Amino acid sequence: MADQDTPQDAPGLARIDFSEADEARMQRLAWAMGVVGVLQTVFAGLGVLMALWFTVTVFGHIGRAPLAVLLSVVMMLGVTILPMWQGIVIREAGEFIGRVAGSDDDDQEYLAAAFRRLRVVFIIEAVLAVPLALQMI
Amino acid sequence: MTVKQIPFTQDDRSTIRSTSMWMLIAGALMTASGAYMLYHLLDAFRIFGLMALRVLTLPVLVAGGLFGLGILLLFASRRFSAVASDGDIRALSGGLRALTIVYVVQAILMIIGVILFFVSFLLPMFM
Repeated sequence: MADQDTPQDAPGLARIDFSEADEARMQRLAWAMGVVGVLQTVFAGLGVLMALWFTVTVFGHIGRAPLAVLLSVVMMLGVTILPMWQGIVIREAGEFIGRVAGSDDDDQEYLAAAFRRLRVVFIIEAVLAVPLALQMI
Repeated sequence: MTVKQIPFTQDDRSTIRSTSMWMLIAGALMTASGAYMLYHLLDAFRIFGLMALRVLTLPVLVAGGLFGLGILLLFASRRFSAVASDGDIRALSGGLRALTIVYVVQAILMIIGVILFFVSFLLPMFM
């Protein structure tokens, strides 16, 4: 089955007419997104491991306050799994942006693929920013 | 002067539009949080003047960073929404420029964070 992000004879522009400065900037963006993605995945991954350890520990007390235990487990896993997923997707988006800057084939399709990843990144960003905003109110 | 345009498909346009919408939401939340934090830090500056910076450097950096990055995301979202409507390359490069600043700053902060983590937490464990 063909992957929708590795286009074969895609209808879009093979080369988008970016200036050299724009291409250099996109390479920088790809590098930065790679760094952020990898570091975020690793550290959030450590957080997931700690959350799982917490889950195992806390399930011993589930008889006392089941709802509180379940809620805290769901929240712990949520605030660690979402950033990990976001890190993976940021790295992928950076890779596609790097391909737009680095090669002159299927630029438009790679750009569209980068935007598909960026949408997921910012959905997660918005979801994670809501508790922070609520905490301030 | 003619504006260079990218012939995005309808599907791509709607993806870019929804990306810019989510970017706008995330940017607005970040800007609002940063502004709120800065507003509450103002009290300390009213009382202690610039002396407050000695103890509040980190909170000021966090609040200012959130505010600044939020503004950049709002700008990028505006540019990308122009890309969604007419595929303008200049708008696209403007949006990517803002996004580059956001991610380069994040990458630098994360590298500093990792170095501090190793120096202050992991290194003492093995010494």
